[in-house]
Amino acid sequence: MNLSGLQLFTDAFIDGFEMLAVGTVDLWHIILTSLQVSGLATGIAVFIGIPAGYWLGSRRNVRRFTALVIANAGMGLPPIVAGLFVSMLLSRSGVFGGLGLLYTRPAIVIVQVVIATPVVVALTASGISAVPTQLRLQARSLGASRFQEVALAVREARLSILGAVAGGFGAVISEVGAVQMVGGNLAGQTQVMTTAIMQFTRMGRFGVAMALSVILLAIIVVVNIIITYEQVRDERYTKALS
Amino acid sequence: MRDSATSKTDMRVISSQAAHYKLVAEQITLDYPDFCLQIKRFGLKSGEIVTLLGPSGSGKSTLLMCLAGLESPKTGTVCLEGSLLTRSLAQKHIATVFQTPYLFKGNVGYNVGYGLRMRKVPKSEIKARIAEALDLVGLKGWERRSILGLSGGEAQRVALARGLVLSPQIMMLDEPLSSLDEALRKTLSVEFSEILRSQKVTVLYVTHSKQEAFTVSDSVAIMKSGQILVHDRIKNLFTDLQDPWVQNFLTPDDWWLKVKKLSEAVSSTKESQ
Repeated sequence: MNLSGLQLFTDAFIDGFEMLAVGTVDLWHIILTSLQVSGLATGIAVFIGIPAGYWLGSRRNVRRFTALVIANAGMGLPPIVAGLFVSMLLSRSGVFGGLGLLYTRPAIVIVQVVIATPVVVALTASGISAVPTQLRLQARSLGASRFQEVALAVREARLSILGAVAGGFGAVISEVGAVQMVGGNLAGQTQVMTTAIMQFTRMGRFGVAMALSVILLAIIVVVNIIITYEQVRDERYTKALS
Repeated sequence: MRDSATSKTDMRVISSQAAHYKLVAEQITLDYPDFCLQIKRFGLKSGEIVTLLGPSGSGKSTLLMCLAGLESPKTGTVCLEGSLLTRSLAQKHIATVFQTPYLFKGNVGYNVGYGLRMRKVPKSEIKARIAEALDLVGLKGWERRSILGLSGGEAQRVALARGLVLSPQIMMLDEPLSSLDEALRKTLSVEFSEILRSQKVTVLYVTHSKQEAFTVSDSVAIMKSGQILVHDRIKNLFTDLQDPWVQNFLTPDDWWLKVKKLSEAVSSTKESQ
C-alpha cells in the first residue's frame, strides 16, 4: 500500500481551496450555474409536483392509483434514460430540434425537471394521503373554505412536502449522466459541479475536483440541516410543553 | 345541499309542519351499502338537546352529517330556520364535534381559534374568545400546550371548545365520548351536558350509549337500519312503547318487564290515592 498516496488528498484539498480563493479556474461560476439550473428545475418541479401530488394524495380512485404507480415508477427512472429521451427530443433531427436547445442551460433544466418531478409528486402524494379525510371535514365544519381546507392539508403534511422538495433538489444537484448528455459540459456555459468534477478528475486536476466536491457536499448538508431542524421543530408537538 | 342562495322556489318545499323547527330534515334518503337512510321528518327545536340513539350502523352519523351540511342526501331537504341549508349557511351556524377529535398540528390555542381565524375575527378578539371557551370546558390557561400531549378526555374537551368558541346556533356531537373509558365517559357526559345547557345552544348528540343519551338530552330519537323508529321526550319515551325492537333495545331482557310493572304499580298507587 502506497501511504504517500494519501498526500494526494491533502495536496488536493489545499490546492482546491487556493483555487476557490484565487480563482484560476472560475469555480464560483460553476457553482452558481449548478445552483441556478438545479434551483430553477426544482422550482418548476415543485410548481407542477405539489398540486399533482396533492391531487393524487387526496383522491382515491383507479385513475389516481394508476397515476401514483407512474409517479412512483418515475422516482426509479434512471436519469440516463431521461437524458437519452430529452437528447433525442432536442437533437437537431428531433421533435424540438428547431429550438436549438441541446447543449444549453434550458436543456439541463428540462432534463432535471423530468428527473425531479416524479420525486416531488410521489412524496407529496404520500404525505397528503396520510392526512385523514375527517380532519378536512372537521376544518370544513369549522368554516374553512375549499382553499383553506387545502391549505390545512398542506400544513399538516408540510414535513413530507419539505422532504419532497429537498428530495427533488438532491436528485438533480448531484446528477451527472443526463446533464452531461444534454448540457455537454461546455466551460463557462453548461458546466455544472458534477460534470466539472468528472472532467477535472479525468484530467488529474484533483484539487479543483476536491474543492467542487466539498462545496457540493456542503450544499447537501445545508439542505439536510434545514429539514432536520424542521423535523425537530415538528417533533416538539409530540411532547407536552407543560 | 346546494351552494346557491336560497330562492323563493326553494322556500316552497318547506312544509308548514316543519316551520317550528330550528333545523329540520324532510323526506331525505341516502343509499349506503349496509342500509338506506330514509327519514320522513326529523327536526331540532330551538335550545333543545336531541340524541340520536341506536346500534352501530343504524345511520345515526349519516343523518348527523346530512343535518350538519357535510353530506348531501340523495333526495329531500334540510332547512335551517326555513332556509335551505347551504354549505355557507351550515358553516356559519353549525359546529360539529366528531368521535375522534382530529386536532390540528399545533397547540391548544391554535386549534380552538381555528374557526375564528377562518371567519376573519380580529386577533385581539380571538385571544379573548379562546380563553373564554377554554375556561368553559375546564382547560383555563391551556392555550400554549401541545395537542399531542393531551389525554383522550382533554383532547375531546379541546374539540368541544373549538366548536363552542364560534357561538354556533347548533352544535352537532357525533359520539364524542365513545373512544373514552367508561368512568371518564360518565363524568364527561354530565359535564358536557351542563356546558351545553349553559350555552343555550341547540344540540344534536349521537351516541350508541343509552346511559349517555339519557344523561345528556331532552329528547331521544331511536334509529335502526336508517330509519327513526321513535322520537320523543325522555319522560314520554317509556310510557307508550309499541315497537318490540325498541322495547328490547331500551330495556333488554326482563328489565322491560320490571320497568313496566314498576310504572303500573306507581300509576295504581296514584289512582288509589
